[in-house]
Amino acid sequence: MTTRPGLAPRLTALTKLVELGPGRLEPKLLAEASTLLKRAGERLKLSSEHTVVALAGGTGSGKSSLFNAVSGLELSPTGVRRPTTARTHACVWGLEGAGPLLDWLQIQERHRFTRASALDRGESQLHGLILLDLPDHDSIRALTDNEADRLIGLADLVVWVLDPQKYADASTHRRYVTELAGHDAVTVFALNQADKLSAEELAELVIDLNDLLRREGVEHPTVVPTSATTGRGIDSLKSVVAAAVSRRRAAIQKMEADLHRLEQRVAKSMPVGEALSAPSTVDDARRLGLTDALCDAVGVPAVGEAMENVYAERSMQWVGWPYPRWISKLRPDPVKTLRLQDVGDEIRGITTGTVSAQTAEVVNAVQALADGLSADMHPVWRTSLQHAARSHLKQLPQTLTQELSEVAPRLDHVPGWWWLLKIWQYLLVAAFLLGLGWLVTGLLFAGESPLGFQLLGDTAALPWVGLMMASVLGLGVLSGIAARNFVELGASKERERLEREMRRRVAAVAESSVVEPVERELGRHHAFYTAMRALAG
Amino acid sequence: MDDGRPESPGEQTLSFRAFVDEDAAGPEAGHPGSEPPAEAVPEPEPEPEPELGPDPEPDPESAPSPGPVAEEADEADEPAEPEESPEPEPEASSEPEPEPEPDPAPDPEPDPAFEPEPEPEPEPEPEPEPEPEAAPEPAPEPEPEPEAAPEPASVNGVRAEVATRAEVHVLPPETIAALTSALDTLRLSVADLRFGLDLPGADEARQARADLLTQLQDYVLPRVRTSTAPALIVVAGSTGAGKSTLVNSLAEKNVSRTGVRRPTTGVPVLACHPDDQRWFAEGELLGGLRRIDKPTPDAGPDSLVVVPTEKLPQGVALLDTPDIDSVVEKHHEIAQRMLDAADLWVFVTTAARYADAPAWNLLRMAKERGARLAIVLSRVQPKAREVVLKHFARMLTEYGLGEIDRFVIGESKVVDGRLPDSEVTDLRLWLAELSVDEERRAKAVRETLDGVLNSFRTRVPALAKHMETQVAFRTELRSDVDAAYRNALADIDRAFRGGSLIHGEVLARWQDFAGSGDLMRTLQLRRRGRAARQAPERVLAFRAALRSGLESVIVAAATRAADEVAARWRHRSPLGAKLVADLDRPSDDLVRHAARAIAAWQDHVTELVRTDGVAKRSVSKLVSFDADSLALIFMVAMFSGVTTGVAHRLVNALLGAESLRGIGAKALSDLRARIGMLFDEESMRYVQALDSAGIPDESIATRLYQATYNLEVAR
Repeated sequence: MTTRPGLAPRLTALTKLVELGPGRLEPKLLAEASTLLKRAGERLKLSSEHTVVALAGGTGSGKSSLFNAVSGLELSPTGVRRPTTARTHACVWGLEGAGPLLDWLQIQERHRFTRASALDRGESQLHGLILLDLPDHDSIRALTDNEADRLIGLADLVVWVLDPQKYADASTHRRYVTELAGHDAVTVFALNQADKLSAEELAELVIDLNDLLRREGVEHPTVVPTSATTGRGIDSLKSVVAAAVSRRRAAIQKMEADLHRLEQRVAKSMPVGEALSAPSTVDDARRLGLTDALCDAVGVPAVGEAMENVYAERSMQWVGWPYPRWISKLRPDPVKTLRLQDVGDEIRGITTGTVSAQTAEVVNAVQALADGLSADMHPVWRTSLQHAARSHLKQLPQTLTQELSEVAPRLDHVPGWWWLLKIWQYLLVAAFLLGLGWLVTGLLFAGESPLGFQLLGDTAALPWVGLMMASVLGLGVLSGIAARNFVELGASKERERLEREMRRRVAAVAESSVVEPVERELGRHHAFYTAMRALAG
Repeated sequence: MDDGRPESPGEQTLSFRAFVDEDAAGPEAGHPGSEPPAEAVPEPEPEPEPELGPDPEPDPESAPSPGPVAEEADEADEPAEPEESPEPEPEASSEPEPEPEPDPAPDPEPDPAFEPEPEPEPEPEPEPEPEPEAAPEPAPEPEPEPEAAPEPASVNGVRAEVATRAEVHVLPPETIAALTSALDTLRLSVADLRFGLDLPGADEARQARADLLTQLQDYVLPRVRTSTAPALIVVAGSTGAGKSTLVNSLAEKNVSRTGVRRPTTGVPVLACHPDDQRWFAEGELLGGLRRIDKPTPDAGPDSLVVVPTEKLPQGVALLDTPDIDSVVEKHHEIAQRMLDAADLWVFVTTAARYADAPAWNLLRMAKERGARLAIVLSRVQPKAREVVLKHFARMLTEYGLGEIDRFVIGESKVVDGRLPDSEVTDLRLWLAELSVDEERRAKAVRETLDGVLNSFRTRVPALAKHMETQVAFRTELRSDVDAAYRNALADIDRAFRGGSLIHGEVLARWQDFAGSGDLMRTLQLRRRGRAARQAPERVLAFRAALRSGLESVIVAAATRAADEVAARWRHRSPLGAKLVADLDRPSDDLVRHAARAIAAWQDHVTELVRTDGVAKRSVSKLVSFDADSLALIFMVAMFSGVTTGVAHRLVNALLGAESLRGIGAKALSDLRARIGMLFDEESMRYVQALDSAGIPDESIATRLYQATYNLEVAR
């Protein structure tokens, strides 16, 4: 069957909906969508030359009589017992190619009849018609039989056979007619048994029926008064049906109407609304926010700061001017007083830093991202996005910890230049001590040189020695201060590098563990609503 | 027409208290109040016997004159003594002799004239019945017959108007009192029912409750109190079945609009004999409906048109109802309400419709309720008559309704909204029988009433059951909330114990604090005059890190709890999903409140360390410490999860094991209490959501069961 442009993309959209539906669409709606998809696929494969027209209605409305009147043969038994027809009968105008279609409709062989073309005098316009006489839908028998329902769904065009007694029955209107919005083109209402009414009564009734149908959403109802007994209106009905048959469009129109209805129903629970303006990717600001939050969870800034502070503190042990250090060591140590030397050692041991992620903060960070993205989403999508965001949440703190441990600062690391500085400091100390020795020697053995060094005994040099010692001391202090500054400068550089590296790694982990699954889900969200829009046509 | 009479007259057991024209006027007015005395009066007419009695009687018509006489005589003798009582009997007895009118038997025609005024009153009165039974001692059998005789009035052929206000004892007086009180209790209990939660079945339960309440008020209570009231025959059926046409034809008056438009009738129309009009216009039966004179388009759903017509026999009223199956669903409700108040159901269907599912649903309900039922199959075409009738009869038999009175109306031209008289003759006769045959009517009334009371055995417990479902549902949702927050607390405890708090920033700050030497600097050898130093920046940062760590643990747990509650509620039912719609995240205030709570807790711990944590003597002599810092070290020790860490050993050394344990326990329980309060606030939101949806009353189910039981006892 050739599809009109428009139907194919809508069916593709429906396929997408059905694919994304599980867990998101209501099960009933999803089942309906899959049924519709299957039905449309099957119908499109079958004869496009035939139009399936079903006569549906309540028991006693005269479906079978009308069926016989239209076909001109006594094919379907009529009777006064209610309900009369229990099995669907079919009459085909132009049999070739109709077989598979009838099989698909599950019409039993013995209930299939053919109008050979020879019989059709002037009925060529009905060629391609498959007329079905359905069982009723409202008798007590129908309670346990959904034959009528099934075929009403499958038929391309449905002729609702109403009668003056039953035309306003809830069983017809509530279950079927209110569902017919948009099906105007593929629905005809035959007001049968018109012979039972006077002309005025009939006119009143037709008006009433039209009003009723319009109130229920059938915008342009086609109402044909008929009488199977007098033959009145049968030709009008035939020509209405013939028009649909000759256009060969009823099947497509029916599908479009069904698609429209499905779309309406899905849209009712999950309106497209602003959904398509929801982000389909995680934008940079959000990524940055997530990375920041995760960095906080790992304590990146604090780690950097700690590293800087600890370096500065420890550098004093290495590159500080030794004398003040020695002096401070002479002070009583409270730790020693408490006999907690090993604790003191341990505290110093703490400085071998480790980095780890705080689980609760990681959880909150991921949650915040999901909440921010899904704030305006349908609850179903909100939930699924949350799930996507949390898909790796269990391992995430562990992963972060592992990743970052590799770059954790070695707080006990001693750079080579510390050694050089330390040697320089001790050289200065040595120089000072040497100068001190000279001074003492010069003062003790003034004028004479016990070791034969003239210079040692030269008292004139002594002030120079003192001056030199003072300058060594000064140099030591200065170099201590300079070294500290160097250390701090280095530490802050190191901190910057460290933070950059840690951020990079956190961002990478966030990307693979959080952003990617979230983006996949956002993509599905977008695809779903795009399909919804496409389905709307 | 006369065919109907034969049995009826005999079956009636009646006391003619109706005929109290002049003298009675006073007493009757007082009747309502004078019930008790009435009971005391020994009234000789027992109901049950009447039935037996009547049968033997050959012809009511033949018996007219003799019957009445005998009867009057009897009555006169007995009631003579208790004349003071305002009851009808005394009057009846006194009057009969002097005045011929009182006896309907002798003169059927005159009666209508007199009765109009007096009758309405006597009927509604509940006394009539009680009396007869109260006084069964007097010869019961003799009387029934005599009384039965009175009807013969029908001789004139106006049997319909036979004014026989008979008191058929539907119920003994004690039973009435007991039943009334039991029913009242039941009504109150049902009225108190509120199904606030929109669970599956709640709409049905609400509807069932409303139906039950309406039926109690409209029908059961009035009917129990005054069982002698005219019988209400409700004509129900599909749209287009010809209900209005049938009623019009029987009333011989266009009381109800007919037409081709479906549905035709929207407002129920009650047609009755003018004498009964007052009873229906003012009576308690269908008391909730506004009486109007003619159907108007703007008449609300709570209206009832009452039309008097002389063509209908007394004692039976026909009620034309809206359909049961058209698109106008409001009609179904009205029809249902009318049927709930019916003494007899006349179900109208057509040859085209008799297999419709809604029709059979109604028949099934009639059967379940044990309502007295008659079926009219109309619009039957003559040629199809045989087949259709046979088939329909078979279907009815299959449904166990084979015994029911059936009437057939042929397809015929409807003129001016009425059928040809010949089509409704059978029905007319049937009505006439009911009218004349008080006993039979009473039996029908009683049967239907019994059926309705029986139906309470299942209907009331069904309501109670739904109530229990609601209570249980609420309890479940509550327990979901409790469980979720209990889990959250457990999560937090685990986080505290497992040391997961000392990660991330807290760990880094601790390393900073320890590694940078601040930790050692907080310990100072005691030196005179040395004041505690200001907390350095690093200590403040550490403190803040700990606070935010704790905060995030709490927020994460609360988020999880909210999520869990939402998931559980959604899983339970759509209603749960609706209730939890805006509550799947912790409240906006949580973070703020948590921050405040933790800050307060930290202060509390510092205070504890400062006051309770008096360091070991030996230590305090040597070392002073900064309480702020020590509190932080203490917290690290507390949350690190191991008892061997640096922090732990340090505080142990400084505070002493004893003191440490004390502070530790206090600090932890204080923290738990604070978090508990936060979570209580959180879970209150769910409780409020639940409460706003309606709080089912847990006691009401028991009350309903009790009321049902009492009702059974009273019967």
